Amino acid sequence: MFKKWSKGVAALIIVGAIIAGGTMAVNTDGSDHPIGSDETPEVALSSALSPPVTQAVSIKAVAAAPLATTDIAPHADAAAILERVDGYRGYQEPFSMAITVTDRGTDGKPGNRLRFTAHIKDRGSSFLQYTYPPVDQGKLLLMVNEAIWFYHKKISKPLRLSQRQRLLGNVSNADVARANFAIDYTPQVRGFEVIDGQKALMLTLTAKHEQVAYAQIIMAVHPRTYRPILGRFYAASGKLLKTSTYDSYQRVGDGEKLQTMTIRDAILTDTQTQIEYRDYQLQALPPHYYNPDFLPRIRQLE
Amino acid sequence: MIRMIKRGLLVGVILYVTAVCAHELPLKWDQSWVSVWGRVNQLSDTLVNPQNQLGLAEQYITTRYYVTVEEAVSDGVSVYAVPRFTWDNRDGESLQYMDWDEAYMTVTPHPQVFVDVGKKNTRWGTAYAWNIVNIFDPDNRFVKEFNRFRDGVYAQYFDQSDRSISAIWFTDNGDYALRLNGQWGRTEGDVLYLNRDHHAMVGFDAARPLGDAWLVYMEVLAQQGTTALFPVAASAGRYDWLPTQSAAKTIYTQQVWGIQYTALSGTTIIGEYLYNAVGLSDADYAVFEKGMAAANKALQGWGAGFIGDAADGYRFAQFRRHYGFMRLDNPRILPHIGLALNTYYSISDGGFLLLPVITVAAGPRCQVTTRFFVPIGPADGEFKRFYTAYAAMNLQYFF
Repeated sequence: MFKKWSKGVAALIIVGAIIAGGTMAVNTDGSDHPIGSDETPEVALSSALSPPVTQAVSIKAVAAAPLATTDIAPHADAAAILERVDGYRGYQEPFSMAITVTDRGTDGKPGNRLRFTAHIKDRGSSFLQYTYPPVDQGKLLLMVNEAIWFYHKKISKPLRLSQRQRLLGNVSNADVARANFAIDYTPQVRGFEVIDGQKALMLTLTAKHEQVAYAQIIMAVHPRTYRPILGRFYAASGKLLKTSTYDSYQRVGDGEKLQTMTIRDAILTDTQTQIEYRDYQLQALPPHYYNPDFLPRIRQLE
Repeated sequence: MIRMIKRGLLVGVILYVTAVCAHELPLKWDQSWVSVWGRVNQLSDTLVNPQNQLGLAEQYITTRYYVTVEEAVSDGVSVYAVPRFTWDNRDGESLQYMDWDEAYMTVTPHPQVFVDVGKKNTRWGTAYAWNIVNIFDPDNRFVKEFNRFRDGVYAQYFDQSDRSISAIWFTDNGDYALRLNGQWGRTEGDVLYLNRDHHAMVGFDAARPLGDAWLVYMEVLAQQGTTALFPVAASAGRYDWLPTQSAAKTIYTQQVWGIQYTALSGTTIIGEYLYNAVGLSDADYAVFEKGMAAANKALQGWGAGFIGDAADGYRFAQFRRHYGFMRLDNPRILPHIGLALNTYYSISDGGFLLLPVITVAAGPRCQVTTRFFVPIGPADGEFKRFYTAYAAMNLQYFF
């Protein structure tokens, strides 16, 4: 009886292999090109010499900005605005970028630092390769929709993590691994506010599902360019968890991309963690790179 | 011992210079240095091995230098090799040798198909403490300092979504396995067919998140009959380890059920339960106890053989039927310090095994890990019988 049953399982796996194998013939589009080959669609867009476009936002403004609206934008298309906001952190196409996370204590001096190369396939899928410090090299963080896996050679399997879990300092996994808001949040235009002497368009982003890192985000963006200025991140209880300022932008190709942002804890407001983005590149990796089962095969992508 | 350390350092410097020169070559080349100082190995001077009559090493210093080399030989063919150079000192006796941590060639006939030939690490299953479906390398990795992987042929196919199919064939004894991995909604898992020592097994594992912070998972492995040996009274006052012939048609299962919680702070809490049908029942353990008592009186005769078989056949925390496991882990509990508290609980006899691990990052390239191994509980329990307390310090440097 058991032998028949076990043979049935083996047959099931083989049938699965045949069915899955049947899709191979149609999976020969551009994404199948081996990494680093001449056929890999890779366009370098970063311009290291471009001066950062800096915008000054005081910490005081973030921590205590009033929410009294001075104007309402009834015709504003919140979803379109959020698309523009997300455009400052990435592309619609697959891309990669280098990320540096620096934790600064109350004295403002740099403390722990992590560096990653982030590969973003689409709005739902991305993975981070730890590149610094050397003791962390080889670690990977994969995010597919709301799920996050952490992989390291030392552990026996990719470990499932939470989006909200702290990565370093005030920064959570989702703060680094997710390059857009549109997939997880429903936007709504609140109106205008004056922040640090500047008029800002206020957006309320409400979580679409409970696996997301924050229940609600209130975001101030530039009223014309929709460049993010600051954000406030709330738990489901309504408690303010952290705030962020979007400190500087850089020219990349024909557009602008976020260069540095600073995240502060809502209670320990003196502590801050800075995220720096650079080397934005359009780069497509094959889809199976975003499969948790593939993580042990990812070593050094160049 | 000092001479050995000096020799190790000298060879290390030579290897380092060689490695630096090798950076000029078009190879991917990484290195790490691991030193482990241990005090009292498992089984030495325990009730299973009184006064260390089995002659196991008690003190050891092991230094290992790993070089990771990766090279694309041609389009679709690459080589990955991690030679390790070991300086081993156990109870004053030193030994130097070179072997391979991993060494395999990967052929990619299609962008989604990977065939690895050689010595390779495999990672199957969803559980943490007991990966029972990973029967080919069943040791608990995080309680071991060094791993040994097997030679074989590994083939894996990834489809365009989130499924993969794997096959393994080991060249040493013909063991093989098939595995279908995938995600169905928010549930991920595997269906497996395995053949170990010509013994068919089927397995299943799954993991599913509950909300943002919780994850539940399970693994099941089923087999007809068992190759495990059980203690039996061979004759009056004499005991032996024999297969249970009468149970050849019985279906044995091993099951792991686990839950994981991740806190905002980065702390992970894991709880696991193992049901191990191929372990010793209370009745079997009573026979084992009698066998041990008799063997200790006959150490010059059959007793040493009985104890030796017990030590050889012993599988960590899979000796009895019921176990629990708990882990609290925070990799950055302080800015440069990580802490993991691991506890195994033998439900059958009430014994505990505590394994606290402290990791200190001494700069970006250096890491010091201190691991303690502390059995507590009843003296006749499994952990106290097979282990004495010890500590190991692991110094790791990444060039």
